[in-house]
Amino acid sequence: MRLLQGELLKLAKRPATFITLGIFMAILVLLFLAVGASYRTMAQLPADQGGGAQTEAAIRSMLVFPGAYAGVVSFVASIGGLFAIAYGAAAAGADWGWGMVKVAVSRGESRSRYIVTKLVAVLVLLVPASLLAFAVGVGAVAIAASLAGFGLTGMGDASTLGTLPSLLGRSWLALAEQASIGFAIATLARSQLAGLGVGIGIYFVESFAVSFWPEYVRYLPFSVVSSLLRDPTSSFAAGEQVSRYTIDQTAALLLVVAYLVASAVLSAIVLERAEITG
Amino acid sequence: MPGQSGGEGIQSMSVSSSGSPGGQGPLALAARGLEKSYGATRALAGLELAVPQGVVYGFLGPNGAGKTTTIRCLLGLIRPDGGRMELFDKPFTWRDRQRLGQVGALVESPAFYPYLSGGDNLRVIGATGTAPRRGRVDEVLEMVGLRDRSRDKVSAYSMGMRQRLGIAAALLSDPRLLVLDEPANGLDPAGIVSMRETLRYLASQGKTVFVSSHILPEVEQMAEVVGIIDHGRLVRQGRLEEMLRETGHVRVRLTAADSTAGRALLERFAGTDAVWEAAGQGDGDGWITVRVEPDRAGEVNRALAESGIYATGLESGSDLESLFLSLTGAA
Repeated sequence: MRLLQGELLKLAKRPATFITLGIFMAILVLLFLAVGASYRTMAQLPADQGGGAQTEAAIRSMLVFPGAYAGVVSFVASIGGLFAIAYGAAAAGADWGWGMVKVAVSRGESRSRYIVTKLVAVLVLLVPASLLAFAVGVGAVAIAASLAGFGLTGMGDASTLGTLPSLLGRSWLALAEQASIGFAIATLARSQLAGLGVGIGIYFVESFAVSFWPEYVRYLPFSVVSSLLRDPTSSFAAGEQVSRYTIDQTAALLLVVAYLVASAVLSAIVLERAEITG
Repeated sequence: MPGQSGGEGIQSMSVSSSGSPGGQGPLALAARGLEKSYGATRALAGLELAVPQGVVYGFLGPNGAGKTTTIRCLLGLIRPDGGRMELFDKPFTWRDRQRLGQVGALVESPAFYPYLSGGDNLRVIGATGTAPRRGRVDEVLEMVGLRDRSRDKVSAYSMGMRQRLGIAAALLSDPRLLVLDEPANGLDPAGIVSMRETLRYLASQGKTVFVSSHILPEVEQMAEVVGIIDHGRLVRQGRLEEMLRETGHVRVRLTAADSTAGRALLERFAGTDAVWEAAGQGDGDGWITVRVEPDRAGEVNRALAESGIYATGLESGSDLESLFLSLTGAA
């Protein structure tokens, strides 16, 4: 517990924590406001110029409550995933850069306990961060919906609000898995920059590869997040095309947990065996 | 006091397989045939060390001699390829990390989180390993003179302040053994004096202070026992006082014109192995060192004068620098 408190103190006072969250929330707000502000123009454009009924329906699903809740969660977990990778890499890599791994180990701290506790601290901090991002995202959607001329009547939909805890839980788990991958890569490479670069690189390679080999890529760490967050009741969730790209939600949940645990175990093994020379 | 009993009987180049050098008193730290290579580079080649309890031990060696590698092995940061280590007379391996709670260390440059204050850094460091007692953070900050700056971020600290904070971090768990790698780096003269007094005080309290340093005069003023290593091996270990007594010297300054003839004469006087010149003298006057008892300076001067060579300077004495240079071949 003493170790976890120390790790939380480090993260809570680290400027990177607020900068990462701040940039992410700014992107989230700008994105929704841009969609809301451009809705009327887009709706009037012909289909061959990016407008039309299909575009209008897509914007409506993004900005009209209660469906917008799932959209915000999805944005938090997907775009937020990139920030989670960066933050996980920053938490693990900076300790190597600043020579703090050496300090902890030379004080007799258990290497595995040290690295796993550090990861747990990151995951704990993702709870308030994801909730805050969700709240800011909902606020931004509400403003965007008003700009687009949509009502906010669906915001209080009781049945949707009842599903939010589960949705937010899955969103946190998705972020946790992505952060732990960035964390493990940075531990392996002993570098914040390597964790960030390689983690984000894999994220984009996966996003690209899913178009070519969806039956395999859908099981990989970043693609499986889409399956975890998929709303089975949504109209987008049905159809043969969607099932090619996603897997069953329970299987996705198990895989996400497996990737998270594997990242923690890999980090622990790497540090246990590491020769600390820097 | 352990320091007094532990330091007795230390003999140069003699490390017994049990107990301190000379077989007397308990040891804080020992290395027996320690080996470590990095690829083709052999950093430690059968290193033997015996650090008695309760003394300030000066650990010396030229750059690349294996000092930092030794410290990393002793702190469980890297795995030796061969040999044994002992901590407080018990075998110590990579797996015995919990025993490092008895050790406080400052390895290479002090490491801190730049965005945290000095006090918070000590708190997060104290959250690892052995827990420091309540109030210990303020106590060690007071000890190193940083109590008033404990709320300032470390990024605003000078190099000397970071160094002092590093020493405070090493003292956090009130260790029995303090391992310090170049602790005087970045300290101003007042800071060096203060650090020296602190380390001597700790040794007087029965703690063992293992100091690796390049600042030989500093070690000379502080250490009771020294170990000199070169190419990963111990070349000399013993009580500093005794070693200096055995290694007195006379230094003669000669003009460039007299240098060759003077050196030849001094080699006839004291033996070839007992004469060496300081490196990098160029074409000007240079110093030649002759390993003879310091009170034979007059004889050396007379021998030169009788051959028509007049020294432009003459010094005699015993110092660690001469001993170090003669042992490591760095002259």
